[in-house]
Order: sequence, then structure tokens, then C-alpha cells
Amino acid sequence: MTVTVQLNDYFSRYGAQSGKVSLPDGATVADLLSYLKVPPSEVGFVIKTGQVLKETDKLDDGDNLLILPFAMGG
Amino acid sequence: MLGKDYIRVLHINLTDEKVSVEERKDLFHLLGGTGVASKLLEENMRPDLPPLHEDQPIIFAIGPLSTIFPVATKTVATFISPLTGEYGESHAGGRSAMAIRNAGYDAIVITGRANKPTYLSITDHSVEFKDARGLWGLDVEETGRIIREREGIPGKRSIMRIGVSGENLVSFAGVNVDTYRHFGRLGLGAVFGSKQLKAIAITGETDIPVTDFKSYYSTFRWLYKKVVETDLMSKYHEIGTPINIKVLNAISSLPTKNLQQSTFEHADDISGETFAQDTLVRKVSCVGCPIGCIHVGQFRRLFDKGYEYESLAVSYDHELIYSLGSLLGTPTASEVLELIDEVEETGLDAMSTGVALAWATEALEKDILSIEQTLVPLAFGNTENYKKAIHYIAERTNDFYRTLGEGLTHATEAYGGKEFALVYGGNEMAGYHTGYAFALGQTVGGRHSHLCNAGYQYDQSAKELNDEEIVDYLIKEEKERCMLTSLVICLFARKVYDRETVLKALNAIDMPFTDEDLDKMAEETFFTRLRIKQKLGYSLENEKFPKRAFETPTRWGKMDEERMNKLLHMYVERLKAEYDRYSTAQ
Ligand code: SF4
Repeated sequence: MTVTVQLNDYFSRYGAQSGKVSLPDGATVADLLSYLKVPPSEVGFVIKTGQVLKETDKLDDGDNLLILPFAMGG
Repeated sequence: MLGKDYIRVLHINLTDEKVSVEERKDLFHLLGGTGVASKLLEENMRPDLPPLHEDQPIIFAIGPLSTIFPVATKTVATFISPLTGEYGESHAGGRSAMAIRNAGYDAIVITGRANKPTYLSITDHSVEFKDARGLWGLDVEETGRIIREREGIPGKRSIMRIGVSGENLVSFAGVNVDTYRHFGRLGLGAVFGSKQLKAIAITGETDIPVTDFKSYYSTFRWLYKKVVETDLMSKYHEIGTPINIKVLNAISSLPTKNLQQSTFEHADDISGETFAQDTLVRKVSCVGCPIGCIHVGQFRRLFDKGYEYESLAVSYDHELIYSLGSLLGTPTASEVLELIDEVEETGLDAMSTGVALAWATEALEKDILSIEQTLVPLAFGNTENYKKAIHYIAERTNDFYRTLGEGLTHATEAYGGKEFALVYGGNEMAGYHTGYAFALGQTVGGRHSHLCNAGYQYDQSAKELNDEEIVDYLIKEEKERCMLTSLVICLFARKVYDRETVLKALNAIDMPFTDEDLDKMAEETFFTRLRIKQKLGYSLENEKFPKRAFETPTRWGKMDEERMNKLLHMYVERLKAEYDRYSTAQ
């Protein structure tokens, strides 16, 4: 399946880029993050149509996903 | 004091211009910063007198790591807050900690009231009371420029100063420190103003006694690498905290238009990315910090007809973009910078100002206020009118702005509209409408700041909400922060300064503290703050949450008011039990 990923600028430090990603059918959010080589501890939210997904959630072909860090502060 | 076993306290009385120094062995176990400043406040405050009475003290304290280890840059100020009437604590960096250290002090206690506008010039060998009549009425920038020229020693001194809002005793006036940093929140600027204290310039040449230089230097190198060569802090340098705008917007947590919304249609236009691409001109640092998280943006201002423009630069961060941006519906980055500039010039706290104006805008919309009171038609997104209103607050132009300048708690008592006043624990809301832990955290925090216990962090990282866990988290986090802000480190470096690192750093400067010593001082400080609040008549049981907080979705959907009140009750009960245990053990 293919999903479209939009990564926040924060993740440019890991060399990960926004765009289309091909994954095996049944892949989860955790699989996607490992494919993107983004440390899961740095990922605040993976969002699909306004909903925050869990790491164990399965992805569907054609998903549009927004990947964001945590909001930070002191 | 470094290399000694006491805390060196400078006492300054502005009324009779008397100065003394004492060496306090009994405070040494509290390290410095919050630990020492809260104890000195408790000793010197007058619970029977109002916050702006001349006998109320201002305390400053640095810590054992200040300046000599990376990112240990902050000075802690404690005072009685004119905004809340109870415990006030605020932190600022810049050059302040270095200057106090070089002047040879660990803490400074200022009492009394000068008989004319005055600024203090403090060095390692003198304290001078200088005539500030010519500075009274000047803005923050002009005041800084004149004192810089008069005092000399560029780069090595720190200048703390107030603007007209502090002179006029606005309850949320702040103190500017070295242009880009501030003692914000809770109204230290008004306490300066009540003492006719326009500014403090401080510098010195005192040697820093490090007994075992080899051990110190190797620990310093190790820590420096941890700061600059790991991922722990670089995020604060890159886009910095303004990265939050897009994140909070995406998870329905960005307070917008007085929290009538938690997403903003112009979020992309005022995002950290947009600020960086369109306005960022430099990044600067507090002295002793290799990070450089202070982002300075530039905007241009028309000052006359005929295309006469000047370019101005101000620092921005998440809290400013939230309070003067999304909360006021400000649609562009350059307009946010314009509002920041007005707040800077007048010396107001940006968050309280933005929250107060957002409330006034909605109150005007709802006909609770009239245009005769607000003087200009305040409307979300109308930057020009907000610019005028900022000056009306600072100058206390009419009865309405005089009352608004007392803070939203007072304003809603006078005019109503409490249900949409964004106030937690008497302090105007910080920029994270993330959920229960933030709302409870700001309410119960010792200084009613999101920085007391970082509830916003729990709301984001929790897999599911657990009330017991929220209460545990907030108490544990606040105690640990009592220790960190006694060292005194910048809280952006809290992941660098884990326990092992803190102990290693203290040992390297011949302060053989143990883990248990740190636990003890953290707990003592946590309860000292609580005791001060009680002595000032504050009670957590009386806290109420703004109705608006329950009407607008958070990252966890809409919060339930009943659950929130239950959480507060749980917190109060836990605190009582902990306090009893602590008191019995003493
Ligand atoms: S991280 Fe920022 S606020 Fe903290 S010490 Fe460094 S420059 Fe100052």
C-alpha cells in the first residue's frame, strides 16, 4: 500500500522527507516510523484526518498522514 | 557561595540607603535560586501588608552552578505578587546570573522605597543609589540605552529595568533584563515601581574560586558536549518553541480568539516556520549558554507619510505568538512582532496582556463593555487597535484600563464575564490548551505557571488519561523543578541535568551533595512555597476553573468540569497528606 506522509520541519534533522511511502499491507504507525528512521520518542503525534493515531493503529492504502513532534516549552 | 559553606546575601534598604552583607550557613543546603529566594522571602515578607507596600521585599538569588556550567543562566526573583496577592516567583537569564556572581553575591534582598526615582548600581565593591528622575517615564529600550552609556563595562554587566507599566503599578508589569529576557508574570515590575526603583545595573570582577580545576574542567567539557553534541537541546535553537504553533493547532490545543476556538485559520501564517523564513534575523543566547534559543525577528514600521519606514527587531517565542497572535486573532507574523514591540516598550507581561485584551474583546462583543470604556473598537485581528490598547493598559488611561491593569480576576469582579476569562490560579493562561494536566498544573503550581510542573507535557505524552497519575506527575515534577531552579539552570536544559549530572557537577565544585540531600532540599523548598502561600491567606480549595476551558476542545476533546473539580480535590488531599508527613518528619 502507499501512504502520503507530511513531516513537520522538526524531523528534517533525521533526514526524513515528506512524500509517498510504500509499505506492506497491514503496516502500522510504528512500522511507518521505523521505515522513516524517525525516533519514536521524538514523535508527538501521527494524525489522520484530524484524529491522533496510536503506534499500533493499522494504516490504509491512500492515507494522508501528518507527523508532528511534541509541543515543547520549559 | 562557591568555595565556601554559606550563602552570601546583600541587603539593600532603599529608604535609608543602608547596605549590609550577611553570610548564611543555614541556607547552604538549599543550594540557591528558588530554595534560597523562597526562604529569604518567607523571612522578610510582611503578610499583614499589601503586596506593593514599601516594606515588602524583592529577592534575587543565583545558584552554585550559575555561569560556571553550561545553561546555568537564570536568576530567580521572589516577591509578593500584586496580581495574585500571594507567592510571586519569576526567572530571567541574559547576563543577570553572571553579573550577580561576578559581584560576589548569591542573593540580594531589596526593601524600602526610594524617596525619588532611583536606579541601583551594584558592583563587587559598592552599591550606589543613583538619581533616575530623568529616566522615569522612559520606555524600556531608552532606559537601557542611557544606563548602558552611563555605567560602561559593556558585556559584563546586566541591566534590569521597568517601563511605564511598572512605574504605573500595573499588576502584570514585568522587568526587562538585558533587552531579550524578562522577569515576566506575576508583576515584579509593579513591585519595582512601588519602590521607585527604575533599574538595577550590576557587574563585578570577583574571582570564581574553583578548588579542583582539573575535576571542574573535565566535568564542564563533558557537560558542554552533552549540551551541544546530543539531540537534547538543539530543537530550541532551530525553529525553537514557535514550532508549537503548528503542533498545537493540529491537535486542537492552540488557544485562539479568547479560546473560543482551539485551532486558528491563520496558524500557518504565524507558525514558527513562517517566522523563521520571513522574519528571523539572528539567534542570541544568555551568557553561559551555547544554545541560542532567543529568536529575533525583524519587521518594518511606517513612521511617517511618504513611505518613511524604520526596521525594528524583537525576540519572539511560543508564548508571545500565542498570547499576542492566535489568542487575539492576529493574522500575520509581522503584526505579531508589532504587538510584541509595544509590549516590550511598555514593559508589560506579554501573556497577561494578550489574555486581558482577548477577554476585553469578547466582553465588548457581548456588550458587557462599551466602546466608551475600551476607547477603541477592540476586535480579533485588529492589530492597530490592540497597539493602542496596550498603551492604555500601561498608562492606565481611564477607569476601565486601570481595572484591567489589576489583572483579569479584578476586572471580572468589576465588570462580569468571568466565565470566559482565561485565568488559572489568579494568573492569566499560558499557551497550551492541552487538557486536564495543564489546567490543573497551572492552577496548583507554586507560581501558577505552566513551568511549575509542565502539565502540558503529560497531556501530550499520556497514552490515556489517568487521574491518579496526573496528580502524581504534577507533584513529582514540581519537586524536581524546585531542585533544578535552585542550581539555577534554564529549564530548557532539564533533560541534560538529570540527577547523575547534577551530582557530578556539584561534586566537581566541591559540593558533595547526595541524591538524598537533593530530595530533601527539593521537598523543603516545595513546602516553603506552600507555607508562604498559606501565610498570605491563599487556599487551593477556593480555586475555580474558567467555564470557557470546558467549552472548547483540547487534544483529549472537551474537558469535563466535574472531573476537573474532582482532580483538584484529589490534588488538595494528596498535598495535605504529604504536608502532614513532611511536618511530622521535621
Ligand atoms: S536555552 Fe535559551 S533561555 Fe535557556 S539559557 Fe540558553 S539562550 Fe537562555
